[in-house]
Amino acid sequence: MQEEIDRLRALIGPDEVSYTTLQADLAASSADARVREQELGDLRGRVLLLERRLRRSERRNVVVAQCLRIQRGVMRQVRRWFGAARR
Amino acid sequence: MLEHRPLPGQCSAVVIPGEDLVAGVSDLIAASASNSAAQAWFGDCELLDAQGVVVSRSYVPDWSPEYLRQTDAVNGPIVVRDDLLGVLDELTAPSPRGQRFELQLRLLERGVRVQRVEGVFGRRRSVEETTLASPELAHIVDGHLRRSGIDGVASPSSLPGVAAVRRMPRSRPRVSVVIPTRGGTGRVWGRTRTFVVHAVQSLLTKSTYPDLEIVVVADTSTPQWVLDALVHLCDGRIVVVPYDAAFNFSDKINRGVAAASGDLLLLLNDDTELEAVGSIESMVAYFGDHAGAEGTVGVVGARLLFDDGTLQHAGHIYSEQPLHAFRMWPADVAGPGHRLALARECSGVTAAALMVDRDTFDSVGGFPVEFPLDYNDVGFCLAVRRTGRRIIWTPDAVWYHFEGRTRTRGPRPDEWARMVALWGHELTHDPYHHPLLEARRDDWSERVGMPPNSNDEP
Repeated sequence: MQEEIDRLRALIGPDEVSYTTLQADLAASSADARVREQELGDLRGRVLLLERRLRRSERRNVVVAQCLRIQRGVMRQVRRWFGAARR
Repeated sequence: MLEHRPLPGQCSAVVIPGEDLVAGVSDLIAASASNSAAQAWFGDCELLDAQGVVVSRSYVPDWSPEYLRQTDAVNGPIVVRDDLLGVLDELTAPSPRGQRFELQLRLLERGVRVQRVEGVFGRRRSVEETTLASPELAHIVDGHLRRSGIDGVASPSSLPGVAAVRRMPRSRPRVSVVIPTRGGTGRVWGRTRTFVVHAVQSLLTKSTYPDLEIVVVADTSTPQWVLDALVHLCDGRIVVVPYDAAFNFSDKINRGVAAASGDLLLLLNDDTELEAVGSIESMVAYFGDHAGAEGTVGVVGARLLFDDGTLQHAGHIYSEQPLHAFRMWPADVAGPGHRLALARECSGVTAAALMVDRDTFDSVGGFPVEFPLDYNDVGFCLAVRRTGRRIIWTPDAVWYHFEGRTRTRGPRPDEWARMVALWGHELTHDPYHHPLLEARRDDWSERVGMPPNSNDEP
């Protein structure tokens, strides 16, 4: 009788214990996937923050460069004006 | 001690030692007072380096009572009408900075109309800049909560210059959770799930709220086994509303609300999963407060996370278009002015997880059915704000929202045109943002040529 049960079990595939083990494996894999995805998300978020800082710094540099250009232009005009006044 | 300096027009500026009042403040106030019933005003404050060059500026949002209950959001000179100067005698905080923070809360308690004025009110040296100590701040806020009859406690926070306020719900009325669905499935964290079943399961297993009613508005295409699974999960606490019309999110919400019996309504997308167990309590706690001049709370929104743990929603910003504030930022960052760690007023919140009381919902005629797909929550929130009610976003209510991070479908042109026609002004004047912050950005970046935000990281 037992032999026949074992034969039939072998025919239909995994037993209840295997099923429970598979369920546990699946749950553990999903939990692992969640942790890994969130680690990736954290890195993605940090990159976003760094990009934001970089962008703001670049824009401030542009403003500083503009100010320096204006300052140079003003100084040139002043020198020209003083030069003309001396002549 | 706090100093008050007389200004023309029977007003005085309240400043702390070492703070300079900008010369043009009286003109700014005069222009603002002529078209408002305000009794107190504030503006931005600039920090200067040793040479007197502006190094940063506080881009202060409009008067935000909820935000103010946790941090010194104004942090600059306040101008008050002279008949309010008596409030200064009631202040008990030991430091000048603490006294000025307490002054703001006392104005709030008295229902004084306080208005933000666009412009700089004060200047301070950055080397002398300090943060109000959290224990002093928490003590001040605790006194305010008691005087205002708000059920909550304030304690020092680990964040500098912040009091952690924990509100407690006065009662626990029935909350009807309205979930529109068509029984869709998708892969989350490596496994396929039927979204609505998991959303309801997470609510019922994780939430500690005692009285929940689940109302599912199901398209007729929803598989029967999904409905059976929901009925089995809810053990009789479910109402299923069949929906056989063409897709209209607003209409689905309205039909769900019509079938709900709760006084409070939690509108929830089916592709969500509850994360924080006390989320519903923390939302319920904002309802039923004494109204005062600040207005009652009409809507409370939640912190939503993508499946990778980054931020999906921390309130809306309306800056020429509706934006999710700080979208895709890491979840553990407090953000400029600690905005991601503190409950605060905002112009709108997403309907993916939104709590509203039935009175508010009815007062605006429910969700706008003229927006079947997009902007229905924006239109709803703006209509709620028009009634004088406040909209709060709280970081204590947390859900995952499995919406695609890289969604490429744009809004329907007809819906956007309708949105602009109805709410064009509001979409370009968000009181909880700042006109000098960059438009169309969700991250509080200042405009080109403007000083850096003093509330931001260096």
